[in-house]
Amino acid sequence: MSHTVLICDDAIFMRTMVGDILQQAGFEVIGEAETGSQAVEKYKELRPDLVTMDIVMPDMGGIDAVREITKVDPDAKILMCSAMGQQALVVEAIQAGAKDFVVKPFQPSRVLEAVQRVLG
Amino acid sequence: MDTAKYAELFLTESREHLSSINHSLLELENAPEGPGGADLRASAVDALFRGAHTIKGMSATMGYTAVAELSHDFEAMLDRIRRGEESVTRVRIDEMLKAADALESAVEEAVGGHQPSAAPRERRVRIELRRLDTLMNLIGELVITRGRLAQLASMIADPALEEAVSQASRLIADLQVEIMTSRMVPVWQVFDRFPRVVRDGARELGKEVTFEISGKDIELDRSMLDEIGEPIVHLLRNAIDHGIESPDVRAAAGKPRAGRMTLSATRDRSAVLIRVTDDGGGIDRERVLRKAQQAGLIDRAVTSLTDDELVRLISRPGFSTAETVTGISGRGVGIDAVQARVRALGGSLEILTAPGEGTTVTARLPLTLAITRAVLARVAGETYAIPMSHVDETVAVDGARLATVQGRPVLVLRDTVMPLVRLRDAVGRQDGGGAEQHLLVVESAGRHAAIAVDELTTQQEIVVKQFDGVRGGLPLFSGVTILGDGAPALIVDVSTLL
Repeated sequence: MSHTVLICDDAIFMRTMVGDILQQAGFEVIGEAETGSQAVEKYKELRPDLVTMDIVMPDMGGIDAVREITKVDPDAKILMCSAMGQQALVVEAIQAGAKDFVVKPFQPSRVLEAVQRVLG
Repeated sequence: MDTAKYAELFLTESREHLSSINHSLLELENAPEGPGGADLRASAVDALFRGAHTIKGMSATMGYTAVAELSHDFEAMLDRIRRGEESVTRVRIDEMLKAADALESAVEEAVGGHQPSAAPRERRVRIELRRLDTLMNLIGELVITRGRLAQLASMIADPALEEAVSQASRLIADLQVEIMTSRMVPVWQVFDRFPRVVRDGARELGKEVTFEISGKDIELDRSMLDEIGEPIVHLLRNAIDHGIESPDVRAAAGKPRAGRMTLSATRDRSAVLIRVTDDGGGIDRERVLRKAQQAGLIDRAVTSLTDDELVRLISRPGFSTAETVTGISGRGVGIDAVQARVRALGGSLEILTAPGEGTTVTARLPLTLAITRAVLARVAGETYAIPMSHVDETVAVDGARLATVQGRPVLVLRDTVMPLVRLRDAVGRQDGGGAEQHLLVVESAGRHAAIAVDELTTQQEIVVKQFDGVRGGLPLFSGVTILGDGAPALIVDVSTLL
């Protein structure tokens, strides 16, 4: 059984890239979200094994989405995707409930390592 | 990571973001001064920040450092404005518009630099699949109407009208090709995830497997590709689970420890062949025989199965899920499920297996979904359509070598003996025996039969309409089509006759 993942990023390019990296590693992308609020809705609907979450998104940002999702499911496994130089935000994201983070630009090996850590 | 294949996506996305950056800058410029425009300005700046941030992320991923640096500077400026450390002035907005232009040039140059200068850059648009589906339906209706027009034109026999209809027909044919082609995508979009599926499956089951994929650039209709993914995974898992033997068993049999599996896509006239092979032990005849006997399909006295019987049994709908007394459950071959899916797509499945040598499963899929060529034949006053993909040749009854083998009528054609099926009998008409003048030699899953019909009308393209549900109908038919004169013709599912 492959793990399911929900990909949250407002850029199609990024969703495609992360999606491809994860799919080639055997994951099943069961949903995508473009905003923080969509991310929360889709999480509730799909209950993925893993979530990748971008920090910067319109409507509701990634950190708030992490907060909301963790309220719904304290065990939610969320991997934060940040850009270089966003350390403070990453710390905030972890405090809000994210389990780990990767920095853009993505290196497939790093992404997969982080995913393994999050899934435990 | 090979980022070259994302260059197109990067370009499209960046252009969109740049366009909305320009839009937001103009919004910012036109926002009323003072507290009245505060909200508008704030949301414009936010949108600008996100746009620059996204382009930065994408370009960094692609390794376009010039673009990444420019967008970083832009993003930093917007961040300062966002946090109130800088204010928005006319001068600032001019600067930002120039920065956006510079960013646009940098993007075009970054991607342009990867193209050979001789090749014209392809322009793409994104289109919802729903629109392509609508176009498909419309062209389907148009093909039917074309048939009707042609019929009427020949009845009225006016040269000017015939000329116009003929021209319209050609244009419709061209349009059909264009629409069908626009739905085609290369199979690697789905095949790319399979190496991992095979690797994980092999690990899980303690097998060693090498896996090769070929024909990645072959294109299939988008919906067809979506549908065929799962059946292929099924076939791959099957091969790893039941086909490839464990390394020790293989070594003992003088085979290399690692099994060899391949997945290939090839074009064959108007079809795409997707083939999964393994060099394992072949389909387990003993197990299939036992299962068939337990399900009451084969007499208990039978001790072995022919290749033919083997393939037919495992292809029977529901065979793999049939419960058995001893509990050989769930681990059935599962090919019946793949067969069902492939048939639903208008294709056919061929299985070749040899004990100790391995198995090859080939799915033959039509290039296009809804429009297909068919032979129209009349039986007892009704017209039926038989898909051309299954028809090998036609033979006149008069002069054909007919015989009876084991009480069943057969046709002897050159050096092949094949069962003779009267379509009249298959559709349940008792009347008019002896009216048959033609035999259609058909083929499905490697087996042949001759279908007797009264007369052959014509060969033409038909638009296939699937049934919503079978209400007391015969499983003999896979769908229906509307002919040029408005009358319906049932489409014969050849595989059910064999």
